[in-house]
This record gives sequence, C-alpha cells and structure tokens, in this order.
Amino acid sequence: MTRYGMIIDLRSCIGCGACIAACDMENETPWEEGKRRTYVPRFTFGSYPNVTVVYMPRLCMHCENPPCVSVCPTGASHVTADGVVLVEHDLCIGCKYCVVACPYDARYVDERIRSVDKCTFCYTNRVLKGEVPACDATCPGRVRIFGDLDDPNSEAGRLAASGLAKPLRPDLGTNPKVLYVPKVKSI
Amino acid sequence: MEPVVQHVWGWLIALYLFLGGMGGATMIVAHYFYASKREKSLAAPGALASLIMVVLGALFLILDLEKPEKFYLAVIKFQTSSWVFRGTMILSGFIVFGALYAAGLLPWFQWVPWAKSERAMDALGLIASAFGLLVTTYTGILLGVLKAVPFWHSPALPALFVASGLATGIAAMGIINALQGLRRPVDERVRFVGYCTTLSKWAAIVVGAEMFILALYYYVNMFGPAEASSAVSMMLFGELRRSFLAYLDFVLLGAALLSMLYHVRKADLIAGRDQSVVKSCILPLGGAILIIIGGLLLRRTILEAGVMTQFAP
Ligand code: SF4
Ligand code: SF4
Repeated sequence: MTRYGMIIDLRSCIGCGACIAACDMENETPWEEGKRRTYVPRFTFGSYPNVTVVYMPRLCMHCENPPCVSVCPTGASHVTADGVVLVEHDLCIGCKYCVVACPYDARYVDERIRSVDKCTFCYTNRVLKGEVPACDATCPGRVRIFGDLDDPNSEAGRLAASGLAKPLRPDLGTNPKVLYVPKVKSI
Repeated sequence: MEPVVQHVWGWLIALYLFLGGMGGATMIVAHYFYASKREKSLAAPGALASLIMVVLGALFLILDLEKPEKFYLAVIKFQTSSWVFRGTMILSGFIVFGALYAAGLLPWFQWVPWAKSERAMDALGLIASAFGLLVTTYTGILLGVLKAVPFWHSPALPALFVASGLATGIAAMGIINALQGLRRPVDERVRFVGYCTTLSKWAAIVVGAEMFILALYYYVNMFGPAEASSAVSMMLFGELRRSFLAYLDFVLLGAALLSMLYHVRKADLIAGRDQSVVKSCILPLGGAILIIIGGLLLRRTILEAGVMTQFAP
C-alpha cells in the first residue's frame, strides 16, 4: 500500500525559499504572510562565534492520525487511500476548528475561496500524474525527498527506514509522514 | 521562542461560548424556580431568556463561518468524531426541549396540551436543564479536547466554563428577578427581594468556586508545557494582563456587591427593617451585570491566550 510522505534533510537547506515560490506559483496561494502552504523559518542556536543557523521547511505533516480530520464536522478534511490529507473546498464551511486543532500550524483560511487550505503534496495536480510535488522538484539542495515511505526501493522509503529521519513532536501522537533529518542534536 | 497564538477565533466565538454557557445555565436556574414551586412566574421569562441566549450564541457561531449559508453541512454530514457536530446535536436538543418547556410556561402558548400537566412540565424542564448543562459544559470541551493548544487542553477548562456559565446564569436570573419584582406591587415585591437574596448567595458561592478552579487551572499550567506556561504568563504579566484583570475585577466586584446585599438583607430581616428599592433591586442588578460582563471577558481572554504547540529543529 502506498504511503506518501516526505523526508526533509535539514543539513542541506540553505533557506533560499525556492520551494515557497514554486509552491505559491503551482498552487496559486494567496501570497500573504501566514497564508502559505509551505514556509521556511530560520532558527539560530548558540552565540558568536559558535553560531548554528538552521532553516526548517514547514508544511502539512500529512499525519497518520490527523487531528484536523477528526475535528472536521463536514468531512471536508479527509485522508486519501495513499495517506495524503486533503481539504475538499466545496464541503468546507470554514468553521476553522481544524486550524486550531493542527499542532503544526499548517492550515490557513483562503478568503478568496472561503475555505481552509493547506499543502496537498500537489496531489491532484502533480502526484497523480506521476510527478513529485513542486517544492521537491524545485529545491536546489535536494532537501525535500518525496515518495512512498513503504517502498524500500525509493529514496524516501530508505531514509524513513534508516531511522535517520525523525517526526516533529512525536509526543503529540499524530504520526507525521513528513520526517526531518536533523542538523543539530535536539530534534 | 516567541509564542504563536491562534488568531482564527475572535469575538464571535467568544460571544458564542459565553452565550452558550450563560444560556444553558439560565435554563437550570429557571427550572429550579418551577420545580421547587417557589415562583413559577420566574421560570417562564427565565426559560425564554435562556432560549434566546443560546439561539443568539448559535447565530454568532454561524456568522463566524466562512460559509454561513452552508452551516447545515455540519449537521447532515454526521461526522460523529467532531465536537462541532456533537455541539450542533446538543444545541438542537436544547433548543427543541427548551422551546417545548418554555411554550408550556408562557401565557401565549397555554393551549399546548402539556401546559396543564405538571408531570409533563417537570419532565420537560428536567430534560431542558440537562441539555442546558450539556451546552454549558460542551463550550469548554470544544476547546479542552485540542492538544494543539496545550493551555486549553485540560479538564479544568470545561470545569471553569461550567462555573462561569453557572455564575452568569444565576446573574441573568437575578436580573430577570429584579425586573419582575419592580413590576409588582410593593406588598408582592418582598417575595422577589427574598429570591434575590437567594440568587445573590448562590452567585457569590459559585464565583468562589470559579476562582478556586481558575487558581488551580493556572497553577497546573504554570508548571505545565512551555506553551501553557507562556499563556499563563501572558495573562498575568504580558499583553493579556489588562483583559484578564478586567475579567477578575468585574466578576469579583459583582460577587462582592451581591454578597454584600445578602448580608445587608439578613441584617435588615433580623432588625425588622424594610427593604429599600436601591438595596433590593439596583445593587443586585449592578452586581449581576458585572458578573455577566466578566463571563464574556473570560471567554475572550482564554481564546486570546491560545498559544499553539511550538517546536524547534
Ligand atoms: S499537519 Fe496539521 S493539517 Fe497536516 S495532517 Fe497533521 S494535523 Fe492535519
Ligand atoms: S474549516 Fe473546513 S475543513 Fe476545517 S474543520 Fe471546518 S469544515 Fe472542516
């Protein structure tokens, strides 16, 4: 069974933001602060001269146990058979319960369509056509590696199985399918 | 790390949570006056006011939707895991049974068959009150189940909302009682002054319980996850300090006024003095209004303190 996910190698991210631009173009997001499907915040650790900068690409974690789906009163938020969490805009009434239920700040209200929106892994526009998401295709550092986490022959599957890539806040019990290869030890 | 606060739920949801809490509790107090046979004439305006509050609250919830015209999808899709869906069921139950109960009490609807049967009215009032308690509790559960906001994710939050809902419900009945009393001839008024004393005592006790739960809730969160303790800090020392203090001021001042009235009334009774209109109506009205404003400020402040989960690489 396909289980789509993404590995993000924090060791290689230089924070160029090409993924954000590619996503905004591909998915026609509102182009506004706080209303993006992906964003890349910067974290700084230590003090001069021992400083480490980490860029951490953020997007929907496509959780296996997604709180956004269980709180949705209309079924607009749902999971596809291959594990991608989507929002059906026609069904979304915009109660915003999912926005406060998502622990990863992955959702926003798109006023133009009067619906909640978020990363789809470019599911219908690219993945179903055999392509990888726009952010993965654009990233110059090969930071984002999309694929079937259950396929031992895929790069994403191998990295997921290696134990090198870890979920964010596993204590929340959401089982994210976006996993991070850490740059510093704390993850 | 800078705390990230939820920004999608504002005044409309605060009004919804507040009106739901107050409306549900008002039904319980109104039914007390019916079931205890103390003053059935208070039950009718109480039940009606309670219904209006909850319906108004539901309207605010609908207005907050991005697509208010599609609100019915939250009912017909039957997503039983969602507390928004469960809430619509609870609200519907409350509105149906509350309306049946209120109809039996109101003079314009005395033709309904159950109005004459005390047993039927008792049963309807009890069911409406049970739904009232559910509505009041549910407003807290809606936030309390969200793990993404650790400050809200606590069983103490529904308890706090129930206590605040009860305090505002008692205060609302206090206002209804004072207004009813003022409309009566002087010799009847003394009865309403008596109810006012009872309601004042209850309000002061419930506000005491609310303060105890609040202190416990803050204490536990202060030493809880980083997000929860930063929410408490925001309220005690940060940008939410003013609204938090305003809530405390309103509720405590209201409760102080009401408990003062209770003691003045007791002293007057012992000394055989008459009750003046100021003491018996204006003071409780003022106290009740303060407690009600405090209830709204509590919901708003708690929403504004919704610090989301944080993480760093
Ligand atoms: S990251 Fe948020 S929006 Fe994405 S699946 Fe998990 S809970 Fe839902
Ligand atoms: S905002 Fe839309 S997708 Fe989110 S819970 Fe409400 S109806 Fe579901």
